[in-house]
Amino acid sequence: MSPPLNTPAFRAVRGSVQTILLGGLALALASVVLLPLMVPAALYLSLRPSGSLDVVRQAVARSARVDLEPEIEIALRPAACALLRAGAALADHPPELHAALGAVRAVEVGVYQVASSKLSAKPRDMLGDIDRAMAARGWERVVGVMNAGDMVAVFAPQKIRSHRDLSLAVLVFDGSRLVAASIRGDPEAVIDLALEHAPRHHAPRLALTR
Amino acid sequence: MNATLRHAVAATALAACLAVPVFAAEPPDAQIDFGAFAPSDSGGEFVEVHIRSNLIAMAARLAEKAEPEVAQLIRGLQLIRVNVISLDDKNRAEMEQRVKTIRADLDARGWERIVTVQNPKEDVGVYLKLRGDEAIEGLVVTVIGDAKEAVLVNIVGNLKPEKLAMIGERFHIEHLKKLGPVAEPPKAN
Repeated sequence: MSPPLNTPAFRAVRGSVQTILLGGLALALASVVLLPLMVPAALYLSLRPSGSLDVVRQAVARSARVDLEPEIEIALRPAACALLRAGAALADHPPELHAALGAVRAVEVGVYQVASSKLSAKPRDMLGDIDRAMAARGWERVVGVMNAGDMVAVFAPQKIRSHRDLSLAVLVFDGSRLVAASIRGDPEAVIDLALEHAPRHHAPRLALTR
Repeated sequence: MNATLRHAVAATALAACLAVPVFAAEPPDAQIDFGAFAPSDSGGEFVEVHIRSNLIAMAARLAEKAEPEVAQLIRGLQLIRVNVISLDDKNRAEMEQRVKTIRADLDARGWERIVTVQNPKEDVGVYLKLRGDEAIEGLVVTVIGDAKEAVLVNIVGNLKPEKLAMIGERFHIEHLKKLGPVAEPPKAN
């Protein structure tokens, strides 16, 4: 025998159901309104250069007391790379492209031109300034080379979480142009790919001294 | 008695727990602090390589397929540090003094000097830190070359004597290449 429709228990149940239905409707409406805004926002954020490249650019600009105008800035963060992989999977591409896309999780490149005509940096100060700025973001320099006004520095994260997920940042500065790049990916897969396509005897040797 | 024993065990455990972070933070004995270097104002060559165990382990793993000899060589290393600083009139005296200080420190800390070259063209010292009779814990190479550049190398880790020449070969460190298979560590007294 079903309970009478006018009892407090039935009214409480009906109230809860109405609340749930109204909540679900509100959520659906919010999604419909917000989703069109979230998609371009997510795309914008996934294509913007990350803080690390900004840090490098600002450290060089501050230390050298120059203005750096961006010539090229390309950023593919993990979400964008994932979209690329998904898109590539649907098309018929060579397996090397799939392997390359699978190996790289994020890549950023920035090329900047020195806007002011006079470079007033002391090389000895620049490397130290950049080291401090990158250390604050969890990077440490593993290689630094300076010669006749050119500077090359390679940074790796202070903590490496996994051998299949390595990030590296490289900067090259010749006094008139700065190139900063960072890449995150599976180094083993990248090397496998390189070995398949590079002749063995062309593999460079590491030379630490003359 | 039981309470006393319990307190003693608890105190020992607490002391051990406090000690572990201290031991963990200590750099290896064979790691030498060369200090900070800066490029010369004249724009000469400046090279700094500082690779710690986390990246070395990854590099060994990655080198396994392409260069298995290099992988075997670097596996087990804890630190690779190289400094190359070009010398000019402004920094030559300072660099020579720093190298002297480093060598004196190595001698005082019981490092074995296995190569000494002193002639007008170069001043070379190669030092080993021994562990027992057959193992090498660390290597330091100091070179003041032809008054043009100073080179400092510190490699820390489990080094086999027969690998020293291979390290010299792979990393183009001339004075290690010459060591060859005769580079047995002098017996520790």
